[in-house]
Amino acid sequence: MLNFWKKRDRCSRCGKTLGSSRKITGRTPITLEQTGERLCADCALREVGGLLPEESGPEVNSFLDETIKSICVKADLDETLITARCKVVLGSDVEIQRTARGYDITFYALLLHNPEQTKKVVDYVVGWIAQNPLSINPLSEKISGDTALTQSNAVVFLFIPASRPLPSDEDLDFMTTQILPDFPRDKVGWLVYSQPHDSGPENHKFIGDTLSRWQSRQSNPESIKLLPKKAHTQAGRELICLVGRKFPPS
Amino acid sequence: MTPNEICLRLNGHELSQFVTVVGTPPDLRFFEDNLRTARGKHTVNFSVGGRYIRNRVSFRGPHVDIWNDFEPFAISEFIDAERKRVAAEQEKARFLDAIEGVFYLNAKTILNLELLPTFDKSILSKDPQGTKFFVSHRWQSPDHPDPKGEHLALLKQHASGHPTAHYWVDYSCLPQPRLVSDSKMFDRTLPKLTSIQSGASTLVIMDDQYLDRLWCHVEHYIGVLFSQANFGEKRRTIEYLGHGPADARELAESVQMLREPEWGRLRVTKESDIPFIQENWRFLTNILKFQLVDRFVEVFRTLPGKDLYCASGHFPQSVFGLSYPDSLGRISSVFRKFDWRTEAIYEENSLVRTAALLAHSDEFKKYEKRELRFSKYLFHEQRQVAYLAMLLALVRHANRFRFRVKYLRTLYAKIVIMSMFC
Repeated sequence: MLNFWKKRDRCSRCGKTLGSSRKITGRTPITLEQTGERLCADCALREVGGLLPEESGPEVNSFLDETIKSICVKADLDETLITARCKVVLGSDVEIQRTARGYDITFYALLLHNPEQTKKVVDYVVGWIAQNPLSINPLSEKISGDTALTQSNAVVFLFIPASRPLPSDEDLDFMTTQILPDFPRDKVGWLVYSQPHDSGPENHKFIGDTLSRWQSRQSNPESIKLLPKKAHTQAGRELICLVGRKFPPS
Repeated sequence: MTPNEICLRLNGHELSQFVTVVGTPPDLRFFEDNLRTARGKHTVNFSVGGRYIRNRVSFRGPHVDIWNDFEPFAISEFIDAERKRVAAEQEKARFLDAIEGVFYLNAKTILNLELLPTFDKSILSKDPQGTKFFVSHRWQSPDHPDPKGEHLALLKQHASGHPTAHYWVDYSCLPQPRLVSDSKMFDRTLPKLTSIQSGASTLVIMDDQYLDRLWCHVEHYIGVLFSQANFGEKRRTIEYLGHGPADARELAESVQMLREPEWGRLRVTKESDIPFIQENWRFLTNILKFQLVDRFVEVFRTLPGKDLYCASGHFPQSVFGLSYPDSLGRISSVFRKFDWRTEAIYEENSLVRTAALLAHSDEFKKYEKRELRFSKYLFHEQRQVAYLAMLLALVRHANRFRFRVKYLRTLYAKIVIMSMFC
């Protein structure tokens, strides 16, 4: 339900609605300590003028290191699960979001000179993490054929997001009849992976690495073609597979 | 909280050494939150070196009393003996960490060749900088490794994509005694092939008989081993020109488990090469052993307060007590739940990350009620055992009245990972 009746938080100077349009949480507008004014990033930038800190450098690294350590101790996390940075222009003191295997945090760079506000930000982030805990899914791999590819057999690759279950053996049989109806079942090998990441460039890299590793083990990899095909599980779930076939040289 | 505020007593005696801290002060934020308010007594039991240790831990805020009957393990003598053994192994293996006076063919030269040339200093580069490739291939005839130019064609294809690279090809970069008079150089360099290979990535030109030849088999094995080991920024890779082995997955696992090649099955021209190759192989397997220990030590170093209580512990010596296949087998079973790249187990902080992910996964349940067993090579001092008991008692304290570890999960997961060092 839209809270159209609720008064929106606006910048004291330009009247712009506060908060970023990006998919974030933790929108804490910038507040000027002396006047209590609540400002948007643009007005805050004009206010501080040339005194803005940098987004990188030893001071920023030290700030990030200290702040992340504090958050990790309080939130019972290891530092390896957090990626963090500072930004000079940001619509709030902090933006935090959960990634597939950790948290991604952006701090407003002016916090470097405001330890009191930093403490509040740390408490806010710790509270947010407690409300949005990580739930890591172990990876799984299902192999029913990892032999060298020839012209008389085929291999099917299937990449499943880590948050979804792998299909059963019966599902694979069911899908084989849709993808390669003329092939005997024992001539079709399946390589099914649950991906470490649900989406994004890391995911593409994982798929690319997996396929190139497999291809490097095949003789004459240039004669292999990988074609995408759609298939359905017995429960009607649609999945996209990559079918590997070896063709005679043209 | 300062180091002086924390008072850790073991069997009634204060462990006072730790208050002298030089350099960066230790990070005690964990104790601010968890130790200051701790009260009560806990019994924490675990095994160290196969011996059951019963620890009684009493918290009165930052004052912690620990009682146990752990007998320290005299590790110094053991380490001295092991160091001598490894040094002797290195000498027998004739392995050099840095080797000089090695000649390479550069990519430009390769692209202009019609047949692999014999050793000729005028067309070779001595000790060049930059990307280097060690070429492993089977000789097609006794006099020339590639009389039809098939290997050269594959090398040219590779070199065209790596115009600044340098290639080490045995026939062209090493004087062959039957063909030239400089046999001394041949004899000097031949035993150091793996030293040359360790400074380069490996290119394998495989054919049907490649894996049956002793030298080829070992070069391939070492190439896979180097590609898995962590050389930091100077990463070593293995590439196959033409086609690769069909069973690469099994091969990678076999190398990682350091399974010995089937020496008797392999063919070699000079039988006298066999003992040397075996010594060389055995010495090189130490690389992975040391790297696995490094990963466990990284986990240890992330434990809160480690600087205070275990400052005297220099853990690399633990490698000498490592049972590599057992430890790798145990840690792999957890590691693969979160990363399939088998070689990634040797990357920096791989086990720290595994512990962090384990702590937030359902897999964690499997380890909550297990009896923990630790290696005496990792925990050989009384203070280390007392420190471990304190951390486990804090986990128990934070989770009192509960059967499951809900709080301090990351700390507990790290301790579980360390128990896999065996």
